[in-house]
Amino acid sequence: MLTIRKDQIDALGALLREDFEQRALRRLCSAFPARVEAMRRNEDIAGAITRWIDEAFTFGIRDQQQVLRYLDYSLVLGAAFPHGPGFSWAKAILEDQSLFPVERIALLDEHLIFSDARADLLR
Amino acid sequence: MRRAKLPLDPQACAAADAELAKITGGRPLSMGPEDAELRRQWMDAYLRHAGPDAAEAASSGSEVGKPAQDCDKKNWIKLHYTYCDGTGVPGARFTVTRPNGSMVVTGVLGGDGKAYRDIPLDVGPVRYWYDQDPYGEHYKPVLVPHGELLKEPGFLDSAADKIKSGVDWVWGGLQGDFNRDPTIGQIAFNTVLTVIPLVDQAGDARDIVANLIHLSNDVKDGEAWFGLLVTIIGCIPEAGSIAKGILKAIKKASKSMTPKQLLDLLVRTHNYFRKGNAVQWLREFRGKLPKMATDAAAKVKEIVGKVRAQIAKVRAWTPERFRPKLNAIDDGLKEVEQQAAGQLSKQADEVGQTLGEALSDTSPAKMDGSAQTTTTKNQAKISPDTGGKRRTKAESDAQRQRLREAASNKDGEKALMKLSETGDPDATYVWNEMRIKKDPRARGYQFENEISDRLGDKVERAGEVVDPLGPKHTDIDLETADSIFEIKSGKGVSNIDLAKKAAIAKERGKDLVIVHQGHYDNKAARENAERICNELGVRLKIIKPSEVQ
Repeated sequence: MLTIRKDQIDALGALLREDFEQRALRRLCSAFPARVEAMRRNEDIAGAITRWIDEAFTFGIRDQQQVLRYLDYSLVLGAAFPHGPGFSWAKAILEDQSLFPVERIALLDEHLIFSDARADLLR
Repeated sequence: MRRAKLPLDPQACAAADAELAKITGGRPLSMGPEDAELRRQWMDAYLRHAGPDAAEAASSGSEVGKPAQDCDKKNWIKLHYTYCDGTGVPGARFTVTRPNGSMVVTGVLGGDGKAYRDIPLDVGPVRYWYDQDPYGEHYKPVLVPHGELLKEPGFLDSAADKIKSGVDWVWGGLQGDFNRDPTIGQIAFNTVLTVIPLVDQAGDARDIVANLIHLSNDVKDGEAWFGLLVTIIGCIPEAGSIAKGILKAIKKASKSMTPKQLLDLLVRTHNYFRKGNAVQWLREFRGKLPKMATDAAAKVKEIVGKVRAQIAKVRAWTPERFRPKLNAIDDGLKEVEQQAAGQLSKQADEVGQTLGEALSDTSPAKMDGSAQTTTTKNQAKISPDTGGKRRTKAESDAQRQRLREAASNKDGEKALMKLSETGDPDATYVWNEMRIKKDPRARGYQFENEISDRLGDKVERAGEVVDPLGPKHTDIDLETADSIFEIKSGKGVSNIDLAKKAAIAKERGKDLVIVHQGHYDNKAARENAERICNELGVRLKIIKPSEVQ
């Protein structure tokens, strides 16, 4: 019987994560080219994506689609998201353990779409 | 679950905003559950305008950096919504949301009042409710199987005489609009009585005549105008006797009841007559009232016109000395004819306003449930729109104790009596209990208490009670897997009631069990009951309350 050891799983997981980060970068470049370009001038965008993904994990957001949306917010809303001033509402939603992760993301969507922040989300 | 891809399409946003502004008038949406439906509508509109590529799934089902994913799971919910008799409510709309108000699934129940839906894996706790119930079918009219009972000459008169000699208030009900101060009980009795078509027609003619007599003498008599409105609306096939009873109850009870108490009474009245969402029916009925008043005015003019034409004919051969009297009646009726539209419309407006107040706080009762369960809601257990529920036995016992203590002096006793008149089951129980102490001969009340005590729990467990306020002896309509029960309270025996119950027992293939306290000790009464059941082929058992298992 074939047995897959934990370190083999971890190695495979690291490869998959790397692949996901690449896809995420391509996606951000395609969706928000100007913002990615502006950010590249100051910092390593790939490193930021790694950091944002780890941050999403701390909120229990692990599903690929939901993490991608978290990356969208992080890029569009800037470094203050979600811990900085003006984003206490977002942090409260992300930390609300009574909601499933997908519900938290949906709530963030609604707060942004139905507020002045919608302008940041436009093409 | 789908969501809009980022970045958003500005043109689609503007189009969705414009669509929603038609509904909201342009006000910004709140983030509360009250606007959840509007937010959902905006998103639908946005995705419609932005095109199919603008949407993406909210979940992938795959975690970042996780090589092995969990097996495919299925998440679902089953819904079952029933009338108070336990049969399904087909075609009712259901809505299931997350606790925060975001939509999970909505749709229409199937032919058996049930629905099964797959729902997203991440959904756990939900809220669900039903609205837009279709009109419930009428309970099948339980016609007396012994047609000869009704055909028998003088049967109704003799029945009325028997009732009259037994209980005074019943006679008040039988008098219809001739009785100017009916109690709610009398109104209810009259309403029930007029369901029998023959009595209904006779009653209508009697009530119309009574009110026209009053009005020809005093055209400003609002009560008579109201009586006329009620009677004529009662003649309209689609409204019928239920509308008549409900209108009278509104008029009478609005003076002494709070809107909530009135609503409870109206829900009970509705549920007595028909299946369906009582509050929805009442809302639609309220909307039809102005048109009904207009139609009633036309009907009054038609009736008065015929009467006046008859007077004109009669006048020609009436001796001179009687003509002033005829002329006075004719003048009175002419005035009635002229004022009919305005007065009837005024009465309808007043009733509509009272009904509106009773309905003002109603909204679909929202229940908590969870995924992967079968949620069942019975209209009887929780009133469809009020969300009101019956007291539990423990709550009921505690309430009775409080009422006993409060009624220890004269003022308290008076307050208890008033409360019992509103139909509060526990107040009625304690009030009757006090009356028995004062008058040991009050056999009827003692019997009621005994029945309520012995059968109350059983009925509650069986979930058979229609009354949202709790079981009362008058509501006990007990039915077990193999038997239908006829609970005898009050005085006398009624072959009609017995025959109705026997017909139900036959239809459902069950035995009929009469629980009595001396009613059927009489040999003739017993033989009569046996004859009725024999004719229908229904097995009969006659027992005392102490024999109830």
